[in-house]
Amino acid sequence: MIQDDREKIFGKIRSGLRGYQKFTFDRSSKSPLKTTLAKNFGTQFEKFKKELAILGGEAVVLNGHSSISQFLLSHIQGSAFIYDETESQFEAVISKIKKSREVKFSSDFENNYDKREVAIFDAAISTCATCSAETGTIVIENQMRLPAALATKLFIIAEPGDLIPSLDELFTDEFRNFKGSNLFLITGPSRTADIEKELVTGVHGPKEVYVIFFQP
Amino acid sequence: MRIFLFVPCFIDQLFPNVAVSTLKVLRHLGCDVVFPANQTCCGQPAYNSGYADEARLMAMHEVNAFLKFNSAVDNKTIEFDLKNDYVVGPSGSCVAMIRNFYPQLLSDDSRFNEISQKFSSRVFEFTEFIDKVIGIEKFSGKLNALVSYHDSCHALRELGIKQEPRDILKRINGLRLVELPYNEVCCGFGGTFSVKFPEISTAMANEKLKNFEETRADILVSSDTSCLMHLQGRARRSGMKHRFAHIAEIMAESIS
Amino acid sequence: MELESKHFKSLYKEQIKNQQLRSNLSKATLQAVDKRAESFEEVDFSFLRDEAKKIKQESITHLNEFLSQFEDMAQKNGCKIFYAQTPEKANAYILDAALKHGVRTIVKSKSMVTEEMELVPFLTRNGIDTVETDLGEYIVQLANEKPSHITTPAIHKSRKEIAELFHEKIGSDLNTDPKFLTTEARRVLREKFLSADMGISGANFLIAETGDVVIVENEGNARLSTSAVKVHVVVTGIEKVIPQFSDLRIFMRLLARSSTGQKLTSYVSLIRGPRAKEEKDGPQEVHIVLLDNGRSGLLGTEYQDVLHCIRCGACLNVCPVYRNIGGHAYGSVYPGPIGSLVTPLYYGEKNAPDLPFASSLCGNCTEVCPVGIDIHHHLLALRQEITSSKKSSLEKFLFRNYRKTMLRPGRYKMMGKAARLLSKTGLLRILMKSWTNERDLPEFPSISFRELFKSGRLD
Repeated sequence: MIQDDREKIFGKIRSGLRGYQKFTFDRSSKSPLKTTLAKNFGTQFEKFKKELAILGGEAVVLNGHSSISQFLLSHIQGSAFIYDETESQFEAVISKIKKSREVKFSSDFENNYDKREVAIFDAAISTCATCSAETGTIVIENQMRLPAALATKLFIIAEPGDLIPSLDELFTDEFRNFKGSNLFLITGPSRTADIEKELVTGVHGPKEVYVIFFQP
Repeated sequence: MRIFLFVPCFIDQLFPNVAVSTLKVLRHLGCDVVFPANQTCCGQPAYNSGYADEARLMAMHEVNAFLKFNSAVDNKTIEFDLKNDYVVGPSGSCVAMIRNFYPQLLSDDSRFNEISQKFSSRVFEFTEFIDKVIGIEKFSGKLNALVSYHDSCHALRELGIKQEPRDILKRINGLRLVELPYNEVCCGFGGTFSVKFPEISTAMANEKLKNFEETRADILVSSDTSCLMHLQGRARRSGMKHRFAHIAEIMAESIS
Repeated sequence: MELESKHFKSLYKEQIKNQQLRSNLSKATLQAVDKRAESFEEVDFSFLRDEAKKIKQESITHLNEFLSQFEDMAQKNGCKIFYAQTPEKANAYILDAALKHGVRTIVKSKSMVTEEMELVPFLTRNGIDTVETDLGEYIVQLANEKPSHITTPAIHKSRKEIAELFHEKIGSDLNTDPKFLTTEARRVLREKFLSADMGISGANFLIAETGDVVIVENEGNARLSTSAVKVHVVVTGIEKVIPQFSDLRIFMRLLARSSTGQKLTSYVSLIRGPRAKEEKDGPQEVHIVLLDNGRSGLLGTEYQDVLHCIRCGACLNVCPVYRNIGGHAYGSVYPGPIGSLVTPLYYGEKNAPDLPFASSLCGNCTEVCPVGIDIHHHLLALRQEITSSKKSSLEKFLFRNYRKTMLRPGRYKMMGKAARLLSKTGLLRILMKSWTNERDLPEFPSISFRELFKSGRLD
C-alpha cells in the first residue's frame, strides 16, 4: 500500500495561500451568447440542424413511425444495436427494423458482457436525455456506454420536447443530478485533425450521426 | 495646445526625419511644440531585458526631463502643466513604456509615485493624439501612394491603437491602403529579443515581408520606427527595394 | 532534476533550420488562429474570459476547500483518490494498481500531466503494454518522440513522414492520405481497446460540487479508454478543480473554441464514478490521481494565475516564436508562451534560464488566453528575477553603462555622435554582429534631431 501525499500537499496549499486574499465570485446569470433563440421548436430545430450539418451530421423532423423506420432502413446496411428505451418509446418503429435487419437490444447483454460482441454493429439506435441547439449537441444519460461509442453510425430518436436552445439550459440543476455513472455529450461525428490539420471523421467513434425528431 | 515632444532615443539619433515630420505635422495642426532637451531614453530596453532597477533610474530622469527644462531657443524655464500640457511621441512602444509601465515602476518611490501617475496619463502616441485630442477631421493631405500598414504590437495591444492610423491614412487624398494579411502578428523586432535570438527574429521578419510583398504595396507604413528599422534591415539584406516609412513622414509629405 | 529546456539556445537553432517543420507548423497554427477567431463570432469572448478568470480565481484562492470538497464527493461516488507530490509517487501508484488487477494492456488518452510523469515509458519499462490512443499521441509514440504541441501533439509531422512511419511500424501501405492513415490507426487501436483492462485519461476539469471528472475530446478514444476497461485511472493536476457544475457553461464555450476553433468538441464525458449497480458496462474502479509536482509552489505568488491554465494551446497557435521553432525546441513538456512560464515556475529558473527571454513580448498570447493569464507580463517579471539572481555578467555591465549614459544628456549626445561616426567605418557592423548577420543597419544620419532642433533650422 503506497502512502499518499494528501497531508503534505494540503499543508503546502495552506501555507502558500496564507494571508492571500480569498476571492469569492458572485456569478452572473447572463448568457455569453450574443443572440438568443426564439422559444419555438421550429427555430431551435433549424439551428440544431445547421450546427450538426456543419459537423457532417444530419437532423430531420419526421411525422410518422413509418417514415422513421424508412429513414433508418435506408441508412443502415448491417446489424443494429438498439437501446431498450428506444424500443419502449418507439415500438412501432423498432418492430419494422427488427423484421429486416439483424438487431440486438441492451437487454440481450448481461453484466460484464464481452466487449467484442458490441464492436460489430453498423448502427446504434438510441433516445437521448436532451439536445442543445446552440452547438448541435446530443446528451446521453444512463446508458450502456460501448455500443454507441463503437458503432459506425449513431441514430438518435428524439421528441421536440427534448430540444433545448443552448448550453445555458444544459448546465443547470436538472442535469447536475443526472442518473447513472456518467453524462455524455456528443457533438457530431468522431473526428480528428491531427495529420496536417486535415479533418477526418470516424476515428474511434461513429463516423455518421443522425438525429430524428419525431413529431406526431 | 502645448505639446512636449517626446523623441525616443533611437529616433533622435538614427531617424531624425521621423521626429522632424512629427514636429511639422503637429505644428501644421496648430500645436505649440516644445522639445525638452534633457530627455534621453525611456528605459524600455533595460526594462524589457529584465533590468528594472536601471530602468527605474532612467524613468526618473525622463520624468524630470519633461517636468521642467530650459528652452533651447531662449533659455527660458518651461514647466509641464499636468492639467493642460501633453506629451506626444511618434512611437507606440516607448509611449507604452511611459504610460503603462512607469506608474508600476515608480510606485514604490514616494517622490515619483503620485507625479508619475499624473504625468503618464498625459502621454500620447502620435496617431492616437491626433484622433483623440486634436480631432482627426483637422487633418487632410494629398499624396499618391500605395501603402500597407504594420501595427506595432505595443501600439496595438498595450495602447489599443488600431483604427487611428488607418483613419488618418484614409484622409490622405490619392493614398490607397492595402491591409497586410495577418496584420496583428509581430514582426519579430522585440527590442533585445532581436539580437538575443536573431534567427527567430529574422524568421519572423521574413514572414512579415512575405505578407507585405503579397499586398503589392510600395511603402510599408507604421507608427513604430523600431519595427521598421528591423523590417527594412531584413528587406535590404534580401534585396527588397520597398520603402519603409513612419506614418508621420507620410503625413508630412502629404501636407507639403 | 535537470531538464532539456536548459539548452534552449542550441535546441532552437537546430529546429529553426528545419524548413519542413516550419512549413508544417505555419500551415497548422495559422489555420487554428483563423478558425479560433471565427468561432467566437456567436459568443462574447471578453465576457466569457472575464467569468472564466473569476471562476478560476475563486477555485485557486480556495484550493484546499474545493479540493477536499471534490475529494469527498468523488469518494461518495465510489472513486478512489490518490495525492502525489512527485511524478515518481504517482507512477508507482498507477503501476501498483495495474499489477493488482493483472493488467497487461493499457489504453491511454491524452494527458499532459502524464507527460510530466513520463508515465508511458515507465509502465512500458515495467512490462505493461501502454498505448497512446489519441491519433497525434499515437503517431508521436510510434516515432519514439515527444508531443510538440499541447493539443496537436504531432503538429510537427507531415503526412509523408507519418505515412513512412506507419509503413515501417505497423506495416501500412505507403499512402499519405490522412483518411487512410487514420483508418490504419483505428484498425490497430480498436484491437487495443478490445483487449485492454485498464484505461488512463487526463481530466480537463474536476467539479467540486459533484465530484465529476470532465474529459473533453474529439476522436472518441477517451470515451473508450474510460469505458471499455475494468479500471479507469484519471491523472491530473491539483489545480484542475472548479467549484460548480454550472461553471461548465462558461468553460465548455471557451475551451474548444480557443483550442481548435470548434464550438464544442465531439465528445464531453462527465464521469461521476465507476459503473453503477444497474449498469452493464463501464469500469468497476475509478482512481483519481492528483499530482502537485511544483504547482503548489505558485500559490500566493504573483504567478498564481498561471494555475488558471486550461491547456487549450491558443497561446501556442498565435505565437510567432513557437511557429518558427516548434514545440521540441522548448525542451519541456509545455512549449510556447505558457510553457515558458510553467517550465521555470514548476521546475526552477535554472532549468529554463532563456525561455522567459524567448519572446518578442508581442502580447498575442495574453490577448487570446481564455482564462486571462497575463502571460507576457509574467515573462517580463521572470526576466527581472533571472537577471537579478545573477551576480555579474557582461550584459549587466552594459546596461549599467547604458543607464549611466542616459542619465547624462551631455554624455548621451556625445555617445550618439560617436556611434554615428563609427557607423561610417564599418566597425559598428562588426560590433553589432547579432544584428548585421542577417539584417542591414540603417543609414546613419550625420546629425541628430536634438542638434537640428537646437540649430533653429526647424523653426
